Amino acid sequence: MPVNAIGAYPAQSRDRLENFNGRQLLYLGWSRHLLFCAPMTFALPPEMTFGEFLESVVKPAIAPHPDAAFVDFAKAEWQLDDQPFAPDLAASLSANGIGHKSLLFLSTPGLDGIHGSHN
Amino acid sequence: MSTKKLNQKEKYRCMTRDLDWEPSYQTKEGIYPFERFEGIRITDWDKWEDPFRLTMDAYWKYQAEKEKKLYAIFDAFAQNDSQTKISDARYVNALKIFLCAVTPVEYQAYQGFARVGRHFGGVGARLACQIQAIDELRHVQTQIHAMSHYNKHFNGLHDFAHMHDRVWFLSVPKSFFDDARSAGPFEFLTAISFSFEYVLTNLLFVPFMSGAAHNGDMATVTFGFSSQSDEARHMTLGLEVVKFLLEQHEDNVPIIQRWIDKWFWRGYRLLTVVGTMMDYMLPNKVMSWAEAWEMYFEQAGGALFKDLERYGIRPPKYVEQTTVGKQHISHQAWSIFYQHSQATNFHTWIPSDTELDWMSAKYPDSFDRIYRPRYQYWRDQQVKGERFYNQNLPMLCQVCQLSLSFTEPDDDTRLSHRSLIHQGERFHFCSDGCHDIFRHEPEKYLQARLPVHEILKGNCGGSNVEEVVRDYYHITSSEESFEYLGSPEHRRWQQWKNDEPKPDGDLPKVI
Amino acid sequence: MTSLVFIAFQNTDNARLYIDAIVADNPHAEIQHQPAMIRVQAKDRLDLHRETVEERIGRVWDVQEMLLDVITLGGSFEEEEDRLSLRWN
Repeated sequence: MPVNAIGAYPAQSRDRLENFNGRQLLYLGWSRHLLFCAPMTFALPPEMTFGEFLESVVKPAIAPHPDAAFVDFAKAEWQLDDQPFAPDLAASLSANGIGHKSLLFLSTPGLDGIHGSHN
Repeated sequence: MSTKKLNQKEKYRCMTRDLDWEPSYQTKEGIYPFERFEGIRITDWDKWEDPFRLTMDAYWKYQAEKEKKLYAIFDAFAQNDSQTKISDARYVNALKIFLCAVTPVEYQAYQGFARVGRHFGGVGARLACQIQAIDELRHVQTQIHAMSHYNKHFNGLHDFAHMHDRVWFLSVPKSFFDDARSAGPFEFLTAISFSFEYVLTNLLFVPFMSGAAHNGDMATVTFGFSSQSDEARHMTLGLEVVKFLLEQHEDNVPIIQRWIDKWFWRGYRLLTVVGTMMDYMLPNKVMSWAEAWEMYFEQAGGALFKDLERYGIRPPKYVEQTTVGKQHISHQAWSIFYQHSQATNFHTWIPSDTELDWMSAKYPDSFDRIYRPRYQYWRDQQVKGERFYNQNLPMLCQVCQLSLSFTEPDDDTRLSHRSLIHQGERFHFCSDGCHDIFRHEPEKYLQARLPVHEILKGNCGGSNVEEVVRDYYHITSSEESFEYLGSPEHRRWQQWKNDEPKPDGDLPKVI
Repeated sequence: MTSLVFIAFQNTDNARLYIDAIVADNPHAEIQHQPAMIRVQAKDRLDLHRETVEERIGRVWDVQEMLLDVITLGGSFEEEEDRLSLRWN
């Protein structure tokens, strides 16, 4: 519904793509690992390859978690915007279908957080 | 000839209703242009009843007396060096949140009531809003005065107005009031007078303030109860406002219901922070957040919504999710603050064993399963000298602006997340409640200023968190931020208490 | 579910007299002591009569003086010349 306002109500999204200086937002969550209080937010160049993203963004981001050392990324399962997702490591984020403000969820079956507590 | 004293009702009529006049050269529509666009229909403003029948002369008399009592206590508190007699210095961290989060929204409430008071055609409503605006301004002032004493002895209290506008977690209360104040006058009244004041503020001003007293802070409990004594009037008014609007026209019912749904949820999310203050920042405990929620929302709100049933009003949408949430939200918010303490104006810590046991007892369904293992791990890390901080920026909800840290109502091991695409752009929410609020008025919330996104756009004067915290937030992190144990404030407290400095990793005693 | 009304006062000298008066006027009321405050709750209805307070306070008392010591209340509030009441309809 439109905003019920006293006059015309022109509105533009504050977080539209063009406001991020050539980068796009990408959120990253790790299922069953609530130790990190929320999914993380990154501003990344859309041309970054998924492989580069994995090495330079994902791995350092989750490194403080004791499970991080045991993650086998070859077996990791991904969800992109609530859909199952099989990344192409050599392709860019864009070519992988990752858009501005996409949410990527990492699942690592067998790793259920600290002592299996989902933390 | 003896002069007869006016009784309360006559006095109220003479000193409020009789002050109004019929306009002669302007139309009422021209004078009150914002009275119709929200769709609310008022057929007779004279049906407006202020249950307290407070007139200006009585108002000044009672408020002056309240102020005298309050300031006498502030003076006594300062003269007695009472900051050294609180239960534990950790407690003061709750005041740092209070001053930066609550006091500025009291100011927003003042501005809001001053504005809407101008826009109602009924004199009773205008007077009530005027009195409430003055009350809210009083709350701002008394809170600043009370906490200025703490500012002399503790960190993090020095620049609250600046921080309110800029620091990431303070966008939660700020955006709440920005939302209410940018709404029409009737939505503002339903949001603040009814949903917030009547249904929810007790949780902040009653059990938390009682807790302040229990921790030796007479200054805070006194301004808290003094504020809340005004709120008692506001609450009563809030209930009358809603009943008045519902009685005026049946077309008002669905509009009011939607506002109740929206503002209950927004208020519930906002109070998450209060839950954390109660459970974690009061070393001497009065009641748990869950117990407070049961007493002041489930019991009191249950009676309220049963009463409103006859107007066709049902309890707020998603209220059942709060029954699940009360077992979790204070712990979830503490976890946010604990791991992002490098960017806060207050300290965090792992609760002592006694406190952890208290939480296990108070939260039998959730604490030992989820939160205790987390704290145990964090404590072990701290003992190893590797205190846990999260260097990544959290994902925020587009509506409430809290991070997406809540779990699904039906699965507390999975983060709750909702999203939708609006005009080609994806938007994310922490819950069904926030999702629905966006969906109803997307143009309003797509303008939200989310602190994390602003940092990433480069709008917060720094290329990294350290610079943002120092230059944009005005937080001196070496003094104000990070872990409590071993902080300058902790060391100073130990000196006051003539304690030997304890080795790192030791936990403060629970009194 | 029964509907409870409630009122809470700061734990002051005046409030102790109010509580005493409330108990006299409302035998069904339940008193709860919490740090710095006293909370009274009752099923459906609570009344505070001016006369009952005046008997205890020993002077003329205006019902609005209650505003000085009250912290919060729950229920539909009504103020009359000689009585304050809280009730759910």
